[in-house]
Amino acid sequence: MTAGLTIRSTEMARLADLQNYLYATGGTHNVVSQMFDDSCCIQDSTSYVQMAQWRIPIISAEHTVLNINVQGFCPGAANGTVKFDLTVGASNVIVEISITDGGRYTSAFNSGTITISGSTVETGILRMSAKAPTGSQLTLLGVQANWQAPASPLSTGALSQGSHSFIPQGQTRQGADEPLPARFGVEALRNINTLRRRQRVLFCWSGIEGASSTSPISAAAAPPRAIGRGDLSSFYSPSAIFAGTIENDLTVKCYIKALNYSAAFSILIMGNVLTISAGGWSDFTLDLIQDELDVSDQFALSMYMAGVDTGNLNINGVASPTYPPSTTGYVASIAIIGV
Amino acid sequence: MLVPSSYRQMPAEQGCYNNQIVMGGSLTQIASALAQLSHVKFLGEAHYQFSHGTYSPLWGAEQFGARLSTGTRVETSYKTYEYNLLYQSTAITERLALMMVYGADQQAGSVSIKAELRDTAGNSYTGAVLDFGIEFTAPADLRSLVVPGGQAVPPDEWAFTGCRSAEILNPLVTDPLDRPRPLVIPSANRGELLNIKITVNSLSLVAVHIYDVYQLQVTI
Repeated sequence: MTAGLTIRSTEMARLADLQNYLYATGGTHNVVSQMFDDSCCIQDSTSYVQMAQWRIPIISAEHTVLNINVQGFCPGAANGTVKFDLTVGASNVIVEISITDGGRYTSAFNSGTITISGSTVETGILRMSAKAPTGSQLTLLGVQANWQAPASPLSTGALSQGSHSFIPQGQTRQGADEPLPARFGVEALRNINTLRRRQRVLFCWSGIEGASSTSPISAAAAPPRAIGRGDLSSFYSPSAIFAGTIENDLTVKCYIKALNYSAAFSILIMGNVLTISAGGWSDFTLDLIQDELDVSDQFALSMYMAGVDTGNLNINGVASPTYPPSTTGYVASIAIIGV
Repeated sequence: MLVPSSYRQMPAEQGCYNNQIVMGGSLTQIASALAQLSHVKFLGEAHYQFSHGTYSPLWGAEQFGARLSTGTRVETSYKTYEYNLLYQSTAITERLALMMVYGADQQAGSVSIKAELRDTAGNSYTGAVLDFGIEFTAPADLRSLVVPGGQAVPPDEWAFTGCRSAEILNPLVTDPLDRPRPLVIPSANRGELLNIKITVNSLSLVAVHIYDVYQLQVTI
């Protein structure tokens, strides 16, 4: 497709196909990825205890099925159970997943799905709770989640993605005997602008709450609840942020969950000083002011540190041993969601 | 065609209105922007942070962060020690680059990281091998320290497969494993949930970042 050459219907049909494909599949890779080692995510309670939570993007109103995969084990014949609940706006949907392995990576991981109603809310909160059978312990090893792509063909009519819309492209409208209408160009441009706004998870982490074990604490149930000073040197994802993000009014957001809140405190993320002035979730729009990482050369993309900075504000603040989570407010979960 | 990596300026919407001549240049820009979305923005990625136990005889179990000191504890159990990282690939995922954060204790034994790719049929950890994978070894590919005193707390280091290996050697050969390179996904398995099995020796993993590799030029 080049200026000065004939525009064939084949190419138009491909462009239409590609728009539909991108709306359906774009951003359906991992939205939650976390591993738990050293029996630090362990539970011996026989009733549900909430242990982790993540802020995740709702990538469109048509992506309503969240696939969740959990790795864990529970010695003995009875199974432990993990409950996930996803809060989107005012609705909350739950799935319970039985953990079938009896030992670490013995056989198989376990899966479940959460189906929500189509929503124009931009993010949801995914919480994980766990319980063990009587006299046993459930040890979790890892969690992964991703949105399932909607089936082809897409629904007709304008489809929502947050506060923006996408117009699916009907294949029969791009045939050789059809005129090339103004509609195609206008809708393609608007669809591209909508898809450019679709969110990507650049960094996602949750501390672990409520762990319990009959094992000595030297061997289990001593999980990270907050950010530690030692974490800071690598508590980020090298992530691509594309040139033109600022010029197209696209944003990178940071969501922070504060627990045990008693007074305002600040954290340095991607060069931005973020002040947390309330318990629970706070969200911030980040200024993109960092330098590129050297590894950009390898990726051939502009790569940046998406995560918690190593600056003195963090070393002497949220990550300082002077402010342990047992006595002060702390960061219990972070998500950095870009475009 | 060349795939742009940036969000380029789009043509004016008015240029597509009725009574305007449809210019090939406008359609080229539309095609280019869609290629950026499919082959750059919507490349898959996953960022695994590893939560480790925080207990230390020095400070007990305040549960204060994964680590208090600027290092990661290498437990004596980390010998032929396995993790299975689940990764939802895309239909155009061909190669996966891995970037790993680790601390290694040379005194605990030979230091290495192996990574192989499996399918997840039946949710099994032992699905069919798609790429027997690669091995990082010390001192060629990994930095390790001799730290006396049992379970050492070496500083964080980064290991990377790179994205631009000149050639893929032996994806289906087990011995010897290739030196670090991106993992290869067969066309039949693209778009599936995949399992990246990582095996470590005398080394503590702190994070693993998984990336679809961006290709600067594709045939469409």
